[in-house]
Order: sequence, then C-alpha cells, then structure tokens
Amino acid sequence: MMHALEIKELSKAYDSQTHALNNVSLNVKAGDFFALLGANGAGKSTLIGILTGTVNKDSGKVTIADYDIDQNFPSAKKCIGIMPQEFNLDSYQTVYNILLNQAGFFGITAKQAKPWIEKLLKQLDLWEKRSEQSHKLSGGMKRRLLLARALVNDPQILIVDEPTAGVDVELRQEIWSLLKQFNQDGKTILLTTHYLEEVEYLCNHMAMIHHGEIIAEGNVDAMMRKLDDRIYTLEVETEPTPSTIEKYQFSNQVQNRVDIKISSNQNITSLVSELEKDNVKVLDIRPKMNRVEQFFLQKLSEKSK
Amino acid sequence: MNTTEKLIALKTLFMREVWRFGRLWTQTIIPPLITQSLYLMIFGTLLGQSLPDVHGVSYLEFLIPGMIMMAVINSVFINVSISLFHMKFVRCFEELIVSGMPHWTIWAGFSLGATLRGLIIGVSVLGISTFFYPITITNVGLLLSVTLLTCLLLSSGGFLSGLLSRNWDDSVIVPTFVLTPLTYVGGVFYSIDALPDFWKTLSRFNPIYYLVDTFRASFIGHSEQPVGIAISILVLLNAVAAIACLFCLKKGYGYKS
Repeated sequence: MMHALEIKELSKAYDSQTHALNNVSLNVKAGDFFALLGANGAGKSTLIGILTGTVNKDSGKVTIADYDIDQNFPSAKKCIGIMPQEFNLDSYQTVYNILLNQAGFFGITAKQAKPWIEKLLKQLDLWEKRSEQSHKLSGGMKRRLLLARALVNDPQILIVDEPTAGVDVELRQEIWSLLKQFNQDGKTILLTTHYLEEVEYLCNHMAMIHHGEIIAEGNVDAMMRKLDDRIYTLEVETEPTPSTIEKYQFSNQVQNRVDIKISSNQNITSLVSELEKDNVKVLDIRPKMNRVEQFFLQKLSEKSK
Repeated sequence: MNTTEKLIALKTLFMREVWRFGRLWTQTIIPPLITQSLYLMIFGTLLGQSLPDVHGVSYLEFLIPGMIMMAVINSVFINVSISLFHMKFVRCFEELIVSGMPHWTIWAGFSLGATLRGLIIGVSVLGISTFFYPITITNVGLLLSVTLLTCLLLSSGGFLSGLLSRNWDDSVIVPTFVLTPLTYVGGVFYSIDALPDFWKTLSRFNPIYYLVDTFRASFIGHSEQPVGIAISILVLLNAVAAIACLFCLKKGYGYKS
C-alpha cells in the first residue's frame, strides 16, 4: 500500500449556495503525518465526515488503504480510527466498557480486545481510571480516552480532528507527544487543525484547504522555503530614531519593539550586524508569527488576487 | 466484516441496550408496573365491577391483556426511540457508523434490546395482574408470536422516531400525538363492537387494534378479527417498518449530512 488515502475530485455541497468541498484531490502516503489545515468552515470536517461515513459525498472517488469506499466501505472503515473534536463518549459507561464496546462494534471479541485495551489504557495513563464513568473524567482524560477509542481496532490510519482545540498548553504537549509516538509506531496520521504551530511541529506533509478547495499541498519544509517574506519582531535597546525606521522600513513600532520584514534572499544575522553598525542594539529577535501561519496568509493572499 | 464479526457487533449493541435499561430500572421497569397496577385497580376492580361482561368474560379479564399490551407497546417504542436519540444527541451513534457494522445489525441490536425490555415488562404486568384476577392463557403459541411481532414492530417504530428526530421535542411527538391516542382507541379498554359503525370502521385502520385484539385472543380465546388476517397484517407491517429502518440507515436520514 503506497497511499493510505487517495482522494480524487471529491465534491460536496450542502445546498446550491454552500460548496463544502470542490473537486478536492489529495494523497496521503502510508506512514505519513499529514496535516489538513484550514480555517473554521474551510471543509476539513466535511472531508473527515466523508472518510468516516457520516457525510455523503456528491461526487469523486475515495480510497482508504486500497479499499474504494463506494465498493467496500466496511473494509475501509476497519482500517481507520477517528478521534473527533467533541467529547462524544457514552456518558454513563465506564472507561473500560467504552473501549470494550467499541471493539465489539468492530467485531472484535472481548477476549481478543482485553489485552490491547489494557495496553492502550496504560500507555495513555488511564488504567487507574478504567472503572470510572466517562462523564466524571477531566477534559484531558476525556481527550486521551477519545484517542484510546480511536485506536481500539489498532487502525492503520488515525484521523485526528482538531485534537488540541481549546486545551491547555500542558495537555497540548502531551497529545502531540502521543501522536508522534503513534506515528513512529507506523500509523498514518491525518490531522486537521487550525493551529499552525501544530503542523510545523508534527507533520511531514500538509494541505491547505480554503472554501472547499486545496490551495497548497506538499512537504511542510519545502513549502516553508517558498515563503517570500518573513516578519520578525525585534526588541532594541533604545527607541529607534525616525531615520532608522525609514532606512530599515520598521513597522508596528511600540516603544523599543518593532517589526521588520525580510525577504527570502536576506539573512537575519547579517541584518542584525548591519543594525548594530548603525548603533541599534538588538536585545531579542523572534518570528512575529510561525512560518506556517505566514505561508497560509501568503497563499490566501495569492488566492484572492 | 465476516459473519462472526457481524454477530459480535450485534451482540455488543444488544448488551449495551440491556445494560442501559437495566441500569435505569427505576425509570424503565418499575413505572409501567405501577401505572398498570393502578389501571387494573381503578378501571378493572373498582369501576369494572359495575360493567357488563365483554365477549363472555368479566371486564377485568377482558382488560388485563389490553393492559399488558399497552405497557409493552409504550416501553418498547420509548426504549429504542430515547436510546437511539440520546446516542445521536451525544454523537456516540457515529461510532456505530464509523465501526462499519452493517445497518441490519444496528437495527437488530436496538430492536432485540427493546424486545427483551418489552418481554420483561409484559411478564411482570402479567404477574401483577394475577393478584387481581386468576387469568389463564389459552393459546401460548399465539401469545408468544403476537408479543414478538408487537415488540419488533414497535421497536422499528421507535427506531424511526429516534433516527429522524432532530431534537428532544421531536422525539416525543410520535409517542404523545400518535402512539398514545392510537393505543387508547385501539381496543385496550373496550371492544370495538360497542362502537358506532363509523368508528368501528376507522378502528380497523389502527394497527394497535390488531395487536391488542389478537393478543387478547390468546387469553380469552375470542378475537374480534380473524387471527390469521391479523397476524398477516402484523407480519406485513413488521416487514414494511424494518425495510423503512434499513432504508433510512442506508440513505443516512437523520444522521448523515
């Protein structure tokens, strides 16, 4: 299996006005960590819904682990696990029974499922909570339980829908680390997110979706290299003079903090040296936004032209 | 999925349904027993004493099968309707879809769970009614087949209601505005022979009437409609309802965008 997911000319319209997906084509290689990036309403959830069978497509072809969903959706579904964004847990079931039931829905006997469930719960630090009803768990535990449930059938492909939406920094790091681990264990991961730093940190490949269309797709690093300009925020020792501001085209000056745009053929180190020659001492440099965010905005801008 | 896997999925959903109504036994099992006991005491024992015999049996003996059927009908319908709608509401119904279990196993899992609850309620109301009247069963085969057909028909009805409801308000429309009126005018409390011709004819279009009349025949040995025709109508209705459920699941009505 070369591709875990093959999506060809996929379209979906909820009504004549709303085209959630418009001729979307996408390939996700087996073993890849792939991000589907887009703003709210871009079409990410519709795409996931089609992959998991909760949304009907209008046209196009989808192949999951070599199974065409129009020909053999049940076999395709056995190859995927989905971690949804919402806590859609059976509220009064215990942690253990939620997983046992989900395994049963996949046709896995309790005897077969139990050792795997124990391993998953221990790996996700939920073993001690196995007899707890799911509605009594903390938000972080519920997220981990959703992940455990998505893995209960040991799928080849894990689809993770905005896993860190609304979670604190600590839990975000924890989820990132778990996802990385599962990817290293050989699972293909399709991640949808609108947190751009998540893509840069986790993913090898990404596709940007906007108003139901793919506006960019490829290797994350290669795409970042295509960035025309980068914006840095500099903290300088003293408030820059008007002549310095004009010379270096500083923007958004707030006291001794300024933004500077440098083009792809410029080098930040040589710029700092140049500034110091002009008696502008740089105390701190940081990217104004992460590179994926910049790339996303650049692509949107190109699209609107 | 192979056949064994399908059966495991079906068993899992069935057990989940049994667990659900078992956990909520004070809401799912006890209330119909209390309600039916009150009906039997008030309408059967107190008021029934002053009423004439119906089809050669006392009013209380006539009433008991209707009371059992009424409890079974309501319980089975509500069981599937609420359970399925709740799963849709918290969106864990999607997990059944994602798992790839066949549509018939989803329908059968809910239906068999509700059928078991219906049987428990039916047997319990029958047990309670023996405190009021020493009722006897004259045709066990007929009793079992009508009970089974009733449970499956009403569970399919509840399934459609739960699947197609968009909110909690929708989920009570059918039980309140369709099922309860049809049950009350379905011959539970009276024989339709006592009705004027117009209402008698109208009652023959009420499927609940055939359930109650045929079920009662298995106790008192007398039915107002030929049993063969009634059973045929019930089998046909069951087939139509089950096909409707599977069709809606296949098309994704009520759960797919």
